[in-house]
Order: sequence, then structure tokens, then C-alpha cells
Amino acid sequence: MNWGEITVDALRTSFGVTAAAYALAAIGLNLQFGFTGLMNFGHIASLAAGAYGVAIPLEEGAPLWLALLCGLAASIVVSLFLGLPALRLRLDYLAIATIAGGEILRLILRSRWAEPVTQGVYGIQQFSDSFFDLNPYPTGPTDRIGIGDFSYDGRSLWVMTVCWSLVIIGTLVVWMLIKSPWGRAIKAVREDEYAARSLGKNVFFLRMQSFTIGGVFGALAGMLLAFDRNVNPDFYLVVFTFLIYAVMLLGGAGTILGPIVGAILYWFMFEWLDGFVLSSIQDGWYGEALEESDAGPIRFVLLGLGLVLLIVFRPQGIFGKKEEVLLSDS
Amino acid sequence: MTRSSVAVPDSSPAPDLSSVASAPGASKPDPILCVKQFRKSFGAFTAADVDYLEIQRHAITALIGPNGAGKTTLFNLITGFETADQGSCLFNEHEISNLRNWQIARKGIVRTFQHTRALTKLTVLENMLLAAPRQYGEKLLRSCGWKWRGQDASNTGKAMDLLDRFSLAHMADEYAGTLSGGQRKLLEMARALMAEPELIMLDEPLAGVNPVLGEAILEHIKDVCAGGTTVLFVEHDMPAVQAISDWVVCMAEGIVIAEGTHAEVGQNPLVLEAYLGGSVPRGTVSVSDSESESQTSAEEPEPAASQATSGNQKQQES
Ligand SMILES: Nc1ncnc2c1ncn2[C@@H]1O[C@H](COP(=O)(O)OP(=O)(O)OP(=O)(O)O)[C@@H](O)[C@H]1O
Ligand SMILES: [Mg+2]
Repeated sequence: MNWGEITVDALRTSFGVTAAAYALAAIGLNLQFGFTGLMNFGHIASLAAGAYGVAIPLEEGAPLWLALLCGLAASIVVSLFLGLPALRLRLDYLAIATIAGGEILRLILRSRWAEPVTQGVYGIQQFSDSFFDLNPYPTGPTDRIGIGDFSYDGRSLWVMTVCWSLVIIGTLVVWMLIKSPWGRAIKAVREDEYAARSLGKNVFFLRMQSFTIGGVFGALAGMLLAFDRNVNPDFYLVVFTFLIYAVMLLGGAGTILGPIVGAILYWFMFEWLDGFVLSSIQDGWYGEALEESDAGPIRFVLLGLGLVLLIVFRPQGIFGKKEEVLLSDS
Repeated sequence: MTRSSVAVPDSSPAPDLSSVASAPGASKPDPILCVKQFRKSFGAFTAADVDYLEIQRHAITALIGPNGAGKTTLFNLITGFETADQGSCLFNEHEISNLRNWQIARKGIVRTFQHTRALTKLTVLENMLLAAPRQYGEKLLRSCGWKWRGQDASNTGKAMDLLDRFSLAHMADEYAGTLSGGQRKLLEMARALMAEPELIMLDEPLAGVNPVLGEAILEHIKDVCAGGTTVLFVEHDMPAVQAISDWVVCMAEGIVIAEGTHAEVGQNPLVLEAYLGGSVPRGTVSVSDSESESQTSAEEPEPAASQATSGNQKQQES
């Protein structure tokens, strides 16, 4: 077993495009769930809105800036569609309504009659040229940038650069919002909406604002994932929302740096376990009991175990404050 | 108008209620609030059915009545936390029964809750700052930037003044969730005052507060009123009601059964009948006496008044 290689591989993934996109999506979810207390189980719908919103205009030949605006607009429309009815409900219904809303959007996107626009189950490919035209890094087949094995090809590095920059900007924006009186008001809404109302806060409006801004962060993450890969409706399954939840809870819901740390840590653990399980099988640690094809499921089992242990021993996440968890909501 | 200045002249312009008839629905010289035919039913049960009630401006009005009389329900109706089945409510001659609860709060009616609603994961100071009215940085677009900082700083000064008066200043940076039940009651009242209401509605401000602090709170309530805020409060502690209220309204089974000064209401046979035992609102006990009474254990059989108080304390702990 090559421990060094496993670790470097894991490190590479933990700073890669996927981790960056999850961090960005988790920033949005953290604003909604961590700070405002909105149980949004359909966050993936915002990613889908961003991805399709940017991919469809680009396919039709629109310039990049216009496509980006379309992606943001699409996510705002989706947030309004989900939020306007659902945020008037009691908060536990919000969870159900957002799951349903997310699924409905996905089913529409992959439906036959939407095929002329969304290309249905096939998804949209090869639309991101105008994004990669801006890439300043060399993209030759042998060009790799980094130190030794901790290196990326120019294409990935370009997406990563944009994505991590957005993560940093997003973190600063959220930090500024949360420290402001507006942030105090949404935290009050999270704690006790009736108390907030008795002090003259428009709870519905505050929730709507937070929900929409969170959705915009989700859309940005969706766009960057779309540039990096393709757009396919089955990427936007409800389960992926829960991966974003895992990332956010790992770092600590309701903390400023939680999403970043959570994303890096999550993907490090994920990739490290993957490498570890695979090479331990190859080294014959378990004799005939396990084959290489078992590695995939086992790493998920171990990852799940890790998350459970985290919840038991550090329920507030890496960055959360223990006191906050101990305060009961009675 | 600031209420944070500690020195308030004792010579408040006492509202003249002597000419007002002590009968339910009596009209007052200068009503701030006027409730007409307000009714709320839960299923077949009518929790509140108030024919006509005026609340005098700049006065301290106490709302009393046995448990389940509909006092909290009336509070909820006035502040928009329940929608009335019918009826209207005029605040400064403007209809408010069609407004949402937060709009009513912005109009100047701020209430506290019988079961305290502290924002547990905000600090005590944040709880206070939240309540400040007309905050510049509460609009999303203005919250980015630094322009709200000046206002926030002056609000902080005011909040600390108020916390100081309610003996909570040393807890300013603690989470509100770490406060005891009585401290939460204090915080909620301080927070409501921070909102600079024109009419403050306190639902059992003394429940669970120790007698010494209770007496201080009564003084605060008087100061608040002297500072120009109208006070409407629900309280089961009769000596406290006697000590500070200019006017007493008594409800039973959802209906206003009596109105008048404390002495008048205390002698009203309907009121005595409404309270089991009929001995409660006589008001012969001095404040300190009865407060040491209510401090005794809740299990002991007590006169109805302190039974009511301790009953409420129990409710709050559940
Ligand atoms: N949401 C509700 N659903 C059903 N019944 C209710 C509801 N709220 C209040 N009630 C009923 O209305 C009646 C009046 O309740 P309310 O809370 O107004 O009493 P109260 O005068 O404040 O009593 P206390 O002194 O114990 O606080 C009670 O009998 C109660 O059971
Ligand atoms: Mg009550």
C-alpha cells in the first residue's frame, strides 16, 4: 500500500472542482438552513436551474455574460416558485414541499415534451467553449500545473480558480450579511418567528430573501459543475441535496467557514477511503472475502460511519460552538 | 422619546379616570385603543367575546381574571397573533384588526408573551438590538456596507442602559438560552421597551420573578408609563395590580365583567364570584407581604391569587 499516493490523491480531490462547487452550494444552504432555519431539501433544484439556465442559452449561441445572467435569473425564478407558496406554510411542510419541488423540476427537465429545449434524458453537452476561451492556463495534453502528483490540468484549474474565488467572495458576503442587522433579524427568525414578529419583523419577507440568495449560490455551483462536466437531469436527484447537507453539517451549520472546511474535509475523507479500501483489497488484506468491485459500496459505508461518529462526538460540526447545541429550544 | 434615561420625574401627568363610570365598556377621556365586539372561538368554545373596551392613553391598565378567562387570547387578538372571528380594534383611531402581527408591532403595539420567547442562540445584547425600531441595516441592500454601524452603536448604548435597569447588564454577552426563567421574563420586557412602543402589553410580567426584583419591575413599569408609554398588563398578583394600576379590567369566561379602579373592582360581587373563593382582589394585603407568600412553595394550598401565580410558573417550566 502506498500511503503517500493515497493521501496526495485525496488532497487533490479535496481542492478540486467538485469540492469547490460543493462548498459554494453549501454556502447557500448554510444561509438558508444554518442561519435562517429553513429546511430546504430541494437545494439541488437551484443547481439544476443554474446549470440549465446557463447551458440552454449557450447552446443557442448566446454570449457568456447573457447566459450567466439567464442562469441566475432561472434560479431566482425557481426560488420564487418554491418559496412563495412553501414559505407561507409551517416550516416542517417546507421540507416536503421543497423535496417535491426539486423532483418536479428534474422530471420536467428530463421529460419528453421538454426535449426540444433541454434534450431530455440525454442532457446538454459541449456548450462551454466560450467559458474555456477565457482560460489563461495552458491546456496541452501533457500540461499539468502543481507540485508533483498534487497537480491539475489547465482546464480543471480554470474552473477551480473561478469556483474557489466565488467561494471566497461568497463567504465574505455571507459574513457581512450575518454581522449586519439583517443577519440578526434572520437569526431571530430561525430562533423564534413569533418573537421576531412581535418586534415588527416581516418574517415571510426575510425568509424569502434568504431563500433566494441561498438559491443564487446554489445556481453558481450548478453552473460551474455544468461547465466542468455536462448537464444531465439525473445529476439533480434529491439525494445530492443531502450530500450538500453532509458537507455543511460536517463544517458546522450556522458558521461562516463551515461550508469551506466541510467541503474540503468531506472530499478528502471520501477520496482517501476510496484509495485505502481499494489498495487494501488489492494487497489481499481480506483474502478472498472482498473483490475490487466491493470498494465502491464499502467506502460509502465507512463514510457514513464517519459522519455518524461526527454527529455523536461533535454535533456542532468542526467549526460550530458547543454551547449553541446545548441550548435547548424549549 | 427615549425611555432609557434613568431619572424620570415621579410627577407623571396622572390620567384623570375619576370621572369614568366603573362599568364594563365605559368610555375614557382619551382612549389609545378601542376594542369593539371582538370575538374568538375555538370550535364551539368562545375564548374571548369583548363587547366594548377602551384603554386610556398614558395610563397603566391591568387586565385580571381567573385562569382561562381569555386574557391572553385578547392580547393575541389585539396584536394580530390570532385572527378574530369578528369585530374591530382601533389604535389611535385607526383600524388595526386587518393588519398582520408584525405590522401592528411597527404601528407601536409591542407585546410580551406569557410563555417567554427568548431568542436562545442570540446573545442577550443581540436580543435587545434586534428590537430597536427603524434599523437602517435591516434592509438587505443596506446591510452590506458600514452605514448602519453608527445607529447600531447608539442602539447598543441604549440597550445596555435598559439591561442595567433590569439587572441583566452582566449577562449582555451570554446566550439568551443560558438565562433562567425569570431572567428571560426580564429580558423580554426590556426587549419590548427597546422597541419604543406607544402601547406596551405585558402578559404576566411578574410570573417567576423574585419579589425584590418584582418590586423593581413595578417601579420600571411606572417609569415607563411616566415616560409616555401606555401600559396594558395581565397579572395574577393582586397587590402588584393594586400598587401600580390606574384602572383595572376584569375578564371571566371571555367576557369583560367589570372595570374600574382597583378598589371598585375589588368590591364588585361579579368579580368575587368569578374567582373561586372570592377572596382574591380585595387588595388589603401589602405588596411585600403577598410577594413573600408567592415565594413559598407551590405545593402549599394558598389563597387563589398565589395559586394562580404558581400555577403559571409551573406551566412555564413545562
Ligand atoms: N389555540 C387554542 N385552541 C383552543 N383553545 C384555546 C386556544 N387558546 C386558548 N384557548 C382556550 O381559551 C381559553 C382562554 O385562554 P387564555 O389563554 O386566553 O386564558 P388566560 O386568561 O390567559 O388564562 P391564564 O391566566 O391561565 O393565562 C382557555 O380555556 C383555553 O383553553
Ligand atoms: Mg394567559
